[in-house]
Amino acid sequence: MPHILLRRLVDSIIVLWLASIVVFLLLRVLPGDPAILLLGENATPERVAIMRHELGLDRPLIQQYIIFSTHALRGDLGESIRAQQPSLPYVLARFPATILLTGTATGLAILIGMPIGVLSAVRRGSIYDAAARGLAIMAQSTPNYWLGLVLITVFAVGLRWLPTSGYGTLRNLVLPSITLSFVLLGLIVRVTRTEVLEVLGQDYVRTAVAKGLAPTRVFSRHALRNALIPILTLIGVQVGTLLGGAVVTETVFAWPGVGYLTVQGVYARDYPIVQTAVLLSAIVFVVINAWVDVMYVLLDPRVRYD
Amino acid sequence: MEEKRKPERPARGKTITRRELIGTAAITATSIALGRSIGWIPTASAQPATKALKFGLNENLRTLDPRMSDTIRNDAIVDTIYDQPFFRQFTGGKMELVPRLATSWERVDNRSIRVKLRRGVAFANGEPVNAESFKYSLDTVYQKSYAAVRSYLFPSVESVDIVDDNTVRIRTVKPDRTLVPSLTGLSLVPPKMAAQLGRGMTTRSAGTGPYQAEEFVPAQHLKLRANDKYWTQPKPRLDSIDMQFIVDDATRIAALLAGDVHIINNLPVDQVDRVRRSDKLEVRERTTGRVVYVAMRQDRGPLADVRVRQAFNHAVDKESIVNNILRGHAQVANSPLAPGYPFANPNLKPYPYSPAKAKALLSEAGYPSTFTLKLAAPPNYRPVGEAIAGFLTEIGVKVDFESPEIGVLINEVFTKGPQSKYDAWVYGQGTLTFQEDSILRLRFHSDYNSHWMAYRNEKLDALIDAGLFTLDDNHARLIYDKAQEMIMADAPWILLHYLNTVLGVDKRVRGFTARADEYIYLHETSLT
Repeated sequence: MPHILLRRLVDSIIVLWLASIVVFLLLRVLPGDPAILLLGENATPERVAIMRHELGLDRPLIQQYIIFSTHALRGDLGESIRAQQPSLPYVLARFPATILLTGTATGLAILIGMPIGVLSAVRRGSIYDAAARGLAIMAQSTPNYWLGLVLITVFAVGLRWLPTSGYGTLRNLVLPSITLSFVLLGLIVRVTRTEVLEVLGQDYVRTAVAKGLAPTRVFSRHALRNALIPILTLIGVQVGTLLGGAVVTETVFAWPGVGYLTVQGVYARDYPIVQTAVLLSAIVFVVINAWVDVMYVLLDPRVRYD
Repeated sequence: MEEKRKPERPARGKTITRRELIGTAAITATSIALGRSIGWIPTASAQPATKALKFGLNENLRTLDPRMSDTIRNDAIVDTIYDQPFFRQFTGGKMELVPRLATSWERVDNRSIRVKLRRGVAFANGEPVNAESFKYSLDTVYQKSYAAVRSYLFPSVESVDIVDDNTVRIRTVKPDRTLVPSLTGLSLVPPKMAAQLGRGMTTRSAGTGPYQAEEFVPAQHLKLRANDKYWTQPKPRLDSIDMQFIVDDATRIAALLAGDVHIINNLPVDQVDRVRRSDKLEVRERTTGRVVYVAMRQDRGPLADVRVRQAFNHAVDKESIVNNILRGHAQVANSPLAPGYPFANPNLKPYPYSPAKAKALLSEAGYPSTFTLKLAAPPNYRPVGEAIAGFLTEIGVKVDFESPEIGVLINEVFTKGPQSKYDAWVYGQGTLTFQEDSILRLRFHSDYNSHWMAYRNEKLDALIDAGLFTLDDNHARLIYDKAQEMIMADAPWILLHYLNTVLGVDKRVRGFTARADEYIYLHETSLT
């Protein structure tokens, strides 16, 4: 076990380092000058030059990267160009909102999606199965933005049960998390259904049934546990999709998360903010995938990383 | 003894074991504590706030430091927390100055003015408003070393001197008729606090205005509370203002329709009817100083010929754009200066729509056959850009239209300049202080536009300079009338329209009107 963790750690550091280079270069390849975008296009070239010097943008790219990376190693990810505050605490302050939103959405998707997928597999070929599969396809192909607006129109404007947007109470969480859960819901239903079907056809399940175990016990002890592994992988891999979906959902619901901040940062060419947000998101991605790997071992004793 | 032998009851149904009970209680207590600590569960029952205005703003407020504000919305909100020496009032649509923290000003000579400040006003942190705070506030805006965003208002200031405790003298490099109106964009800040906090002024504030910041959470909201020590009448009529940042148009409209907010700004024109259908809401709007146009690079082949540029002005049906795309929420422009400018020339006429005339002018200029125009419009002007592409196609021009993100457009047009891949682009130019010089100089003076528009008219340059240096209003009117005529004849732009500012407002909101300077002005606002 310690061996895996060590190897995981080394892998993770390489991934994060590469991510930092990619985001650093991509931002600078993008046309657009942060100094002009901040000062406005009417600023005199002289003032723009002062600003560029202050921001360190007048130095060669290599030098800029060395400064960025050496500072980053010391935990200093620069200062936001627009907000003029240290970017690490600024971005970190947005993380709880995004984690709360994506976490709740994932939880909802699992709580709703897995039972539907399981039932769909168990009652294969029934009307129920057809409905579940239809729902899965619908959920997967519904654009996030559109769904968010429909939910707002029905539940906030029409019925007035919930607030249209904002952050701070559980009532605010309902619509955004349902909206975002649809990103995963369809996938979870489909994968659960496929996996459970496959497991139900296995010899050991037939054996368990043959030796007279109660169907619920066969299901919970033998079938579901083995079906869980691919579902877990799926969630690990889909963290990226979720964070991407969070960008749209956060924008629609004025949710003060990291996704929306990143998009605004790109528009303003606020390099430090985007670099910090991408780096932190990469850390989340790496940590969750490492956690998924560890969970494999716990769920399936056959899995060994040697 | 008997008790012990009893088999333990299985934890089923409604029976709860002690362990479970303790566990549940612990979890509940922890989650409530957690909920409270992050503010999700209110610690006390919320007081029904009687006069709490909620405002849905279309952008994330960036800073509370008035010197660093870079959008008109941000300006308006920080200028509510702070006060300015003078302020803008619109009477009969024209901008006028009213004294605020200053009581009066006088001209000392043609390069300096003296400003007298009101006595007995203090910032919310106790520092007094006096000559020292005035000097500090202007110094940290105009001096280059501070790189303040609003420095563009004071290009000519040379020095600020304290005459006595409540009098300052401002010297300019050259005579500058825009100096006093520009002071409406100077918010006075408390010097000790500002010097101590430096960039910390982004999130903390202490002004003299009617409402003071109580809580500023970036990307969420700014909570303002009435300043009960506000120094003048009318006293604030609301207890609090909650500025909620709702950037998405559809969500902001939904918030207004659902009654979550009382006012929203930037109501898209295609949503106006939806708001009007509600008997609780209304639309308040006004034509602003924001002029929308197509700038043309005068060094690109056919565009160098004034007849081609005039032809383009004839080819575009401005009325149709205003009526169909903007649904009437704009006014066809007859000059680069909107009617709110003190010296806007009301006698000028827009180029009449006439494809025949346009074609004739093109032939006359020697371009009877097709040529290609690379036209760009940022996403917010995309529908207008597409319409223009259509009109120009009708007179035989091949239009290559793109709608790049604003950062990319600015990079092409303003940074790359002569190497820009675009020949022409749709753009808008608003104004804070309604000074003729600001727009004429920035957009038409060859010192400023040679790089990105390559427009040069030395007679016009001379007029613009003379206008700035003229301190006599009658003379200035003659100069600016002539300058506007010259621009209309030269047609460096395809001149389009002045945009309206359109707000969706709950009918119970009183004392709040749409303003020509696009300001969100809440000083006299109340709720019934």
